[in-house]
Amino acid sequence: MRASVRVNYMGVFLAVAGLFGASTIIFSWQKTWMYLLLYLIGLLLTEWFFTIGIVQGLSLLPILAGIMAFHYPVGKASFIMLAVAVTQTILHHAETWRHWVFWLKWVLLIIVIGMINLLTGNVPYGSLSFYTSVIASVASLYGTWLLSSYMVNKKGIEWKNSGIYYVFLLSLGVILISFYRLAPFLILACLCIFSVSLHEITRGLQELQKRSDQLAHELKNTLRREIQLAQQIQSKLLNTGVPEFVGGQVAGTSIAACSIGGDYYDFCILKNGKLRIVIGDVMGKGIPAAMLMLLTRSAFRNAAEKGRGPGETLTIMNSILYDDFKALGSFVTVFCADYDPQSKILTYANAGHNLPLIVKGRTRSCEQLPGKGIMLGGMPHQQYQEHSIQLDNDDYVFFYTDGIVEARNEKGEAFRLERLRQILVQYANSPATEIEDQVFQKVTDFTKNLPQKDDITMVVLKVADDNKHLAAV
Amino acid sequence: MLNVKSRLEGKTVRLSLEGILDISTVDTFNGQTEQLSGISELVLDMAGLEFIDSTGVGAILQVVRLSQERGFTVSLENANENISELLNTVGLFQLIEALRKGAF
Repeated sequence: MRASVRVNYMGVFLAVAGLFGASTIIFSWQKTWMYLLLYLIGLLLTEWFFTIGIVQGLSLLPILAGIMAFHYPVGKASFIMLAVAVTQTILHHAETWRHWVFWLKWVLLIIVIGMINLLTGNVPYGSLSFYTSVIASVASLYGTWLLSSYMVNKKGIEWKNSGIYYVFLLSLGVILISFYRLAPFLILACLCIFSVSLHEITRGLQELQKRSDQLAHELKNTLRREIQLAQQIQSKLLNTGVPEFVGGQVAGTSIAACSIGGDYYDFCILKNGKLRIVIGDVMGKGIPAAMLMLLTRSAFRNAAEKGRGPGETLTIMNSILYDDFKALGSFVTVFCADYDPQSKILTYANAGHNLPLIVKGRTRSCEQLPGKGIMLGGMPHQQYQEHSIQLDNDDYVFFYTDGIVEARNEKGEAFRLERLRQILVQYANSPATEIEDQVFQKVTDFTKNLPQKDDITMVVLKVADDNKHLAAV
Repeated sequence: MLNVKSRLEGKTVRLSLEGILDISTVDTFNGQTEQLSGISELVLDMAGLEFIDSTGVGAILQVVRLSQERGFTVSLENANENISELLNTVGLFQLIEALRKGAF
């Protein structure tokens, strides 16, 4: 509050100083430059301490000086107008310069000033043609102001905020000075109207910019909040506690590309003591994929209880999901496996997912499990063939989604299967979580600073007979 | 970027794909395939296709589903090694084969 009071006093002070300067210009051309300089300094100081708004209002004052100069040769008048242009340019928001309307009004101003100067310079005061030309100028200036208002905010002139009271205050002062000549006052009125339009336009532009920035900012924040909430939901649902079982470890991890994604893995301990593992990848990524991933999860949880084996589980999942996925134009690839810790037999079925790798502890070989299938949502009533494989102690199976092998580096090379196999063989004796960390680390090193392009998910099932390990996630 | 060239040979439409079929270009692809009707066969020539992602696969899947409704067959030709492998893994070739054999 105190600042605005100071501003008002400062404003009055500068107005008086400006008037003083203006009258000095009329009576003494030699001191013009000095007064203009002082005036400019005063404006800049005002801007430093106070708001730019008050300064823009006061920058009208050189206009008045310019008006007075119309009774003087065009050269002097141009100098004054140049001073006005400089102050306006300095004081206006940089953004305004870039807008073509700002420059258009300056061109128009110069043309009109030139016209008025020519008209009134050679025409005797008080003659009919003099007043006619003045009225014509007023009309054209008012028209320009109206036009510029519409161009910016599609409304008429807001008299209340237009700073018109500045104009009247200053006009009053100038009348006193030029009481012996009323004609300059008329010209003054024209040009002040026009100058006010400058502020109208720039203010309008600034407000438009501010409003659109505000809207964009709000939208961005809302969106960010929603994504965060969605991510939290997905994170809670996805990070199921890993089941405890005798005879091995199982670990799973999923890192989404855009903080939320369509990759999925899950576990289920069956009534017969087997461990059912599922890993899946919904088409696409981001929020749409995440939504369908949740559908898939529900379908799995439903099917896992009823399905006697992985093949039947996939068939049930497909029957649950087929209509929805078809309607949405999407699909999901899923790999489902049952592990029997007693017999160490892994039974599995595949619905279009990339095949897991099996690393043999003894031979340190790394092979792909055989067995392809059609993705879920591809065909209705789909039967899935089951395969079995015997695992031994220290063997492990690496289930994953294609985000790993498809990761690309700066040269556009893909990570590919070969690099993955090397890592899996290298860390064959490490615990499940360590294997996952190493794989993720190597992929990150490979892609260096490039953002992650696809969701990365992996599940490691390690056979370890002697120890009862608490599986860790 | 994706370039789709369409050629009608009797009752067969041949779509030659060039470039990349992924989430940013599927709309271009769908634009060409949505209005296909009254034909007996659609051939997707992927000789010029460099890369396809899961969304691209989804778009092809949609065409396959469309072909079932509108009574034409779909064949995929000249896919490069990587794309062939991907389509093989997700089971798209298998699916088209099964449909051709009349299994609904």
